[in-house]
Amino acid sequence: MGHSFPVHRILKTVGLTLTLASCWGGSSWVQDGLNRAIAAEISPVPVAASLVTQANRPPSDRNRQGDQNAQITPTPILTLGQRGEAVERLQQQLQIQGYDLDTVDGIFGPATLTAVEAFQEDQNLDVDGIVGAKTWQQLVPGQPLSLPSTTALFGQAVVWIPTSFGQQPLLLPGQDTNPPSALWLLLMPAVPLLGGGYFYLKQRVRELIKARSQSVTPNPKVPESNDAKSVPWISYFPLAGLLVASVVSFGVYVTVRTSLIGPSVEQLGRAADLKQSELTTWFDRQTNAVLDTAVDPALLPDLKILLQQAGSSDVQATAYSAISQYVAELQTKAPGQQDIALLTNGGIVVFSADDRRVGQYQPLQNTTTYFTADQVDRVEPNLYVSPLTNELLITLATPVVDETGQRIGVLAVDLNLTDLDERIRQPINLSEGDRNYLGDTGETYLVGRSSLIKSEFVSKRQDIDVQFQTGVSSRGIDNAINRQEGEGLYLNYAKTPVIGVYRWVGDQNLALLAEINQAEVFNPARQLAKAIFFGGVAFTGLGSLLLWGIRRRAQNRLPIPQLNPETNNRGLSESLKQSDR
Amino acid sequence: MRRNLLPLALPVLVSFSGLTACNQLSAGGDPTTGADSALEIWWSEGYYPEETEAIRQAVDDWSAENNIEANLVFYSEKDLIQQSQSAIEAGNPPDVLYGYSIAFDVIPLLAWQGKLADVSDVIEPIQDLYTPEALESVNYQNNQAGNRSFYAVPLSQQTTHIHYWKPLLADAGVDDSSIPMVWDNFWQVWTQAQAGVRQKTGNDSIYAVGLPMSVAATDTTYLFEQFLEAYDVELLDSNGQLRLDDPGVREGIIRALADYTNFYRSGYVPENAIDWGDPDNNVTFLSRLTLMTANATMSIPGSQRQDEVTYKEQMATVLWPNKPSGEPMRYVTSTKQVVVLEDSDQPEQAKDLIRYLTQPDVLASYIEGAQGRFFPVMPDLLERPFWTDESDPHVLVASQQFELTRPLYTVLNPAYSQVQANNVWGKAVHDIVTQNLPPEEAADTAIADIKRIFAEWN
Repeated sequence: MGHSFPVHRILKTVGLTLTLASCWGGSSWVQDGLNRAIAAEISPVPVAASLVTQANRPPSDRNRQGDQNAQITPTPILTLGQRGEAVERLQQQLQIQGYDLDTVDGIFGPATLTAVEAFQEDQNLDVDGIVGAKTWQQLVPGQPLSLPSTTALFGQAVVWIPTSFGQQPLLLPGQDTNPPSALWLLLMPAVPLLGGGYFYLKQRVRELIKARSQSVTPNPKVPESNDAKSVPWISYFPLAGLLVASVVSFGVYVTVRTSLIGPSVEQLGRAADLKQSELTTWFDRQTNAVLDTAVDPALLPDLKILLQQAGSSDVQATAYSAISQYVAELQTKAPGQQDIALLTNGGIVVFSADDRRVGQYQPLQNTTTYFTADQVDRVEPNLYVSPLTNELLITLATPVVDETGQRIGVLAVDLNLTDLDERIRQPINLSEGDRNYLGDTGETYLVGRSSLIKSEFVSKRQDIDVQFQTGVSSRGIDNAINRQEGEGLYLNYAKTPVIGVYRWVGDQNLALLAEINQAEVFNPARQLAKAIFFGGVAFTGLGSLLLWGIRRRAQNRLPIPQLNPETNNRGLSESLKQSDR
Repeated sequence: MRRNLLPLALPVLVSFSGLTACNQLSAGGDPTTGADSALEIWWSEGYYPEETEAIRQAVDDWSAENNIEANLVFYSEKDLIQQSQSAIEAGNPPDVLYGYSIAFDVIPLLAWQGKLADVSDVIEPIQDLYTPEALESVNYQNNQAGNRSFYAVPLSQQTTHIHYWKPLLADAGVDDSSIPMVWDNFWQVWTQAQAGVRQKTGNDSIYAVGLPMSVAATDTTYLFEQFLEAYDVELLDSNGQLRLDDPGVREGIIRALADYTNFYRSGYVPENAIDWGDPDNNVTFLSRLTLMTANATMSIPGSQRQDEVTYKEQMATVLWPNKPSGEPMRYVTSTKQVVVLEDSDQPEQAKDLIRYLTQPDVLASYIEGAQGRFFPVMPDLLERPFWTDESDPHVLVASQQFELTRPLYTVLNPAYSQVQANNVWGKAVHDIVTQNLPPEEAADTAIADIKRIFAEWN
């Protein structure tokens, strides 16, 4: 026995350490680590770590399933000067809550700013006029729950959603959970193994000491353990119970987790369809607007004056002023256009909404997306960084022609990528009052190739610019940029494990991605596994107590042996034999 | 005892089944190219509409003449390189491919890998029309077939040019009628003028020199090759074998790197030149924010042809100075070439299109339509008025440059195309100016990279 493999002892010690690890506060990191390893398509291997499936986060009242009054999910950070549907919703909420706002026009102007500041003051928030996460939380109480399909699949399994996975559907980079470090990934499987090893060594040392003392006082007929020999299964019951609970909960976790992937991918695919359609519509609108402007009879005479440098300087100044007024009105109507410039045939700027550009050069093609009226269906926008402003841009350009059809110049329009970014990232609410279709952490976004060596978010947000100066990369992004479409589990640009659907939208020369954090999707699996595990632990505990009681009663019936060390063991053994009979 | 291990094995099996399920999710193919019967032509988008219209017109004419549908798609060069590589790797390439930088980045490698169709039958009937250098540039080794043949068709050629603004130089009080041809003195003209220009214009955003320092610009690589030539650095011998173990070669690389990057480190190059793409030195120069610039094509004067004052009076093109050794500069040229992909399902139609494009009149219209950005590779075309117009101050200088040339090293050994594709020189330059890396270290890293690339090819 001394030289054979002590499997039962290892099982016992591993089982004990599993329990310890399960109850340990860092177990959610084990879960994240597992997700991360699977996302990276590597097996985490250590079994003991894989067995630990329970999240140790307390449920949040705000996120309980019973809170069915969740409203439309808040949207991105809003500041003075921004426009769009998100601002409209902000204004609606402010009006509902009684703040002084006359109109809901989707423009974050001074009146909206005043209302926001008043609201922040009333709510004891920092009065900065910026509608960020805290302001949204106060403004729109309640958050949507998990994905409808996952909830339907597992009924009451969804109990709560970890608060750390965000109150906003627009997941700002780095705003999600902190990723576990590589050290944790190594430590987690090591904990049960080291624990098991410790208990095993401790047991061996005891045996050695015992054997040595027996060699000093030889008594070859002394049995190892009267309890174990008489009712061995009783002492192994707690171990077996814990092991079964761990294995079953883990098995359930993996099975349920796997079954959650398909529905999520379907939902992400539908979201990508919607956003791709929106992307196409947005670009169509912009290209047509550029064409319409270039041939607008109200504008053309002034364009000609500037391009052909016709008339006196006063005439040219009047023309410039008229174009400025036209462009200002146009920008109010068409938020998709950021700047409008008039170029000579040599690409020199003779008019721009930004006066500083006058006299500078804008390529008519290559970085600029040049098209004529007959090519409007084949416009593939080109993303680039201006060497003059270091801004990420898409510039559409079309010729301005005279009566004879000759090109006399080019109208170039810088598109408002912030507007596009907001629209693509806008949470999908299928009907009024509905929760975000993609849950709390779902996001849809665009990535484009801005240079030979760099892919960037199609966005002008400065926080993104700062965080991803060297560009963005993930398996989804890289595949999409390489003209592939597909889906999978991978680490996103912020190294967060996600389920993602990615596409190359060739017509727009951009990659479109729809992703959701694995932690959110797999939460039902984690909750179910947690329930099973703790149920198993409770059952094992009760059973062990019961068995302990039975054994105790059995022992109480036996005569108490004399406390003579030489005869003690023998007496107990004989007593047990009598008891067995 | 083994049966007792089952409880431990079970979770492992379960977890593997989970992982297998995860891996069932996979990427699909390229959704944008399919079994379309139209001839798919991918072309590098020009810098101005005339260039693009010239090739569009030629393709439309061929398409109408032969009743073959053609889908001509334009990509900016940065997208073309990446998109064509992705499409080729996915086994779904276009039928015809043309780009100005893929000639030295990609085509030699594709030919080596057997991914290009043999176009000897296109070239042989017209090979007498070409310069020998142009034909040599498209005669590639196919490692798959084990032969050497024509795997591309020459269209034009490029080399490096220097342009400057006369009014800005005058602002600095410099007379441009006698720009020195001595290497150091030549560059001092511009660096010493920077302060004067800034003072006169009150614009501190004007810099003396427009040399790109980025990895993203193929111009960085190309212009640095010209600096290596200036320092007489011969990386390969005439048999295409590396000469990097020659101490003189290493010394020359270090001097060229130090010289090229000193302009930036001394504050004579715009700060964002470390991020420039190929068009960006054009944009900065044409916005009159650099006094002079070097460029790998004639696109800068080409873009201003329609403005006679700018083209003929304000902008000038000048020869490179003599080498530091005092010898006249030899210009590094690259032949621009169009290819048919081996996986094309319409190779004959693709070749037919190229036969059409390489008819002298058609080719002349295309090159001249590009407003002289690239230079002809058919000597007869140089007799046309476009290239002999003595009133054209830019073409005249460019014509002189093409009298003393040597081809890029890719002609001697296709492995060098990998050096270009990996931006080895661009990285060396970028590391020196952004990380303050000593030129010696940057040179050693580049030498090690080149040796590794050549070892992988052999």
